[in-house]
Amino acid sequence: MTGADAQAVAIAAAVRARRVSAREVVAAALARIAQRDRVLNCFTHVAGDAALAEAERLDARVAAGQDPGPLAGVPFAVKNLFDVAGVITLAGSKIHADRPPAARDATAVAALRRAGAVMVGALNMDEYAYGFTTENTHYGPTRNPHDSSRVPGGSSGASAAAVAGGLVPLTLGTDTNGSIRVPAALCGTFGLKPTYGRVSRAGVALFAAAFDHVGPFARSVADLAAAFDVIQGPDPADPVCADRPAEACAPQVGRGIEGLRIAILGGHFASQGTEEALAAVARVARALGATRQVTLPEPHRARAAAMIITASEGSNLHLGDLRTRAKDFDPLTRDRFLAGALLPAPLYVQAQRFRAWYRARVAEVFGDVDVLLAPTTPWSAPPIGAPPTMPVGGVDVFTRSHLGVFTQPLSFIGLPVISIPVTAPGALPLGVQLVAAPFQEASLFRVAAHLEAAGIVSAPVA
Amino acid sequence: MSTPVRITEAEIEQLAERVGLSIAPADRLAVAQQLSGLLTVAQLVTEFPLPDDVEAAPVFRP
Repeated sequence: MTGADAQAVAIAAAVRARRVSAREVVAAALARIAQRDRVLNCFTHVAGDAALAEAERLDARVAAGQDPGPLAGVPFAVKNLFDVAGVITLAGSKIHADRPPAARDATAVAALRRAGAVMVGALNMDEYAYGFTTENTHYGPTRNPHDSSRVPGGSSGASAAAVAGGLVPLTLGTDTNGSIRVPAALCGTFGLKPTYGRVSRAGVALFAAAFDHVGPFARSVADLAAAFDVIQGPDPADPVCADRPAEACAPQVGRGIEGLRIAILGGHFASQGTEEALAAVARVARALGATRQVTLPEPHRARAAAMIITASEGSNLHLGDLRTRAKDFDPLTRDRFLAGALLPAPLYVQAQRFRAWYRARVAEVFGDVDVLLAPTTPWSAPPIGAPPTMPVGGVDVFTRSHLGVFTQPLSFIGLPVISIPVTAPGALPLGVQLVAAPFQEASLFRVAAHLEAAGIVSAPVA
Repeated sequence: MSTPVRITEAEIEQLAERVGLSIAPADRLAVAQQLSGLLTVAQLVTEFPLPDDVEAAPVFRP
């Protein structure tokens, strides 16, 4: 239970049964971070003594016969845009480094702590979450555990890399246009972007509020479900959090896929895919017996509208700093934030109107299908410092932004998605998106668990 | 299919002034390229006919 491959649910069971202490588990995680993060560069803050003290308090509760919670002793870390009491919330920026430490935990961080999990640190990201590669100029690039010359994806790149590399079994990230799913795919982990409004964003530095989601990364479906169940549910502190009771998913993981109608997304999701990405989808589809293909209406326009809304809202959020200290932004985000501030208002309004239209049309698609399959990214992890463009089907596309070509049309309307890891022998990991109608996360967990049990998907420590 | 939009550095300077931004001369070319890209992509949204009764997605609850 102290090894790099120990999973969250198993650790919690062992701590609760006093087969191992939380302190031993957390100390082992801190030792792995000290040893391996010199290369991976996941952590911008390591809790160290504070984490050990928290673990000791948890051990005392276990010894006293108190319930330590469902995630007792599980070490976890969070993208550094989550408020953690006593830690400066960097959001990947140099500008926020001037701010005072957070006074209290973000709602999701507090929920994990209440469940007995132990916070061991904060994780690197693209500045203000505007990127898909975690090539952060201020804090250095995070490296992919499968190949340290390559990016881990982003913007929650270190959240994925820390799990994939076995530093911790559980992390939190955020997803606005793909920032959980893209790194989960490139690092070979499970990643959940829940339904918009299903998990509180209170205490999280936002990027584009229309699309910002909080979600977990893990190396097993059971761990992902356990973390999701702890953090999901209403929160009056977040104005977009749904006033709808949580539906526990962990108990449904073993229900199997009987009765679920599963189809493959065609059109945009096939025409923009590389051979390797489509092969990953085909492998998953075969294992599920899924042969039917469906299309979404105008997903390429949905992606375009997502870009406009993201640029407008993200730039508006940082307009004050763009006016007074633009030079302090990461050169990798500065130009995009400045450009977003110059977009005409009619484009933003039209993009929001299109969003309402698209949401209604996609809802019709879910009238006779439960789970859709699509690639997560068009290709596996690019090298750090890759050229800005690369050819796809004879056309040059942007290497970094094109990583979101399959994720953006889905987060645009807040659909729940799990990215599952599919790795061909000798190849870098890829992901496949399992997509459901709003608030149908349980269906996704059932499919993911079926595939995991069949040996089609797995997330071994890299 | 979108028609490429080309925004110049001079236009960036004028647009920035309207929103109270001062963009360093060294940044203007890169910002012009980014804005050109966004405006090109935006045509996919603006060219698509929407019924008049489609409202923007945000909901305001007083």
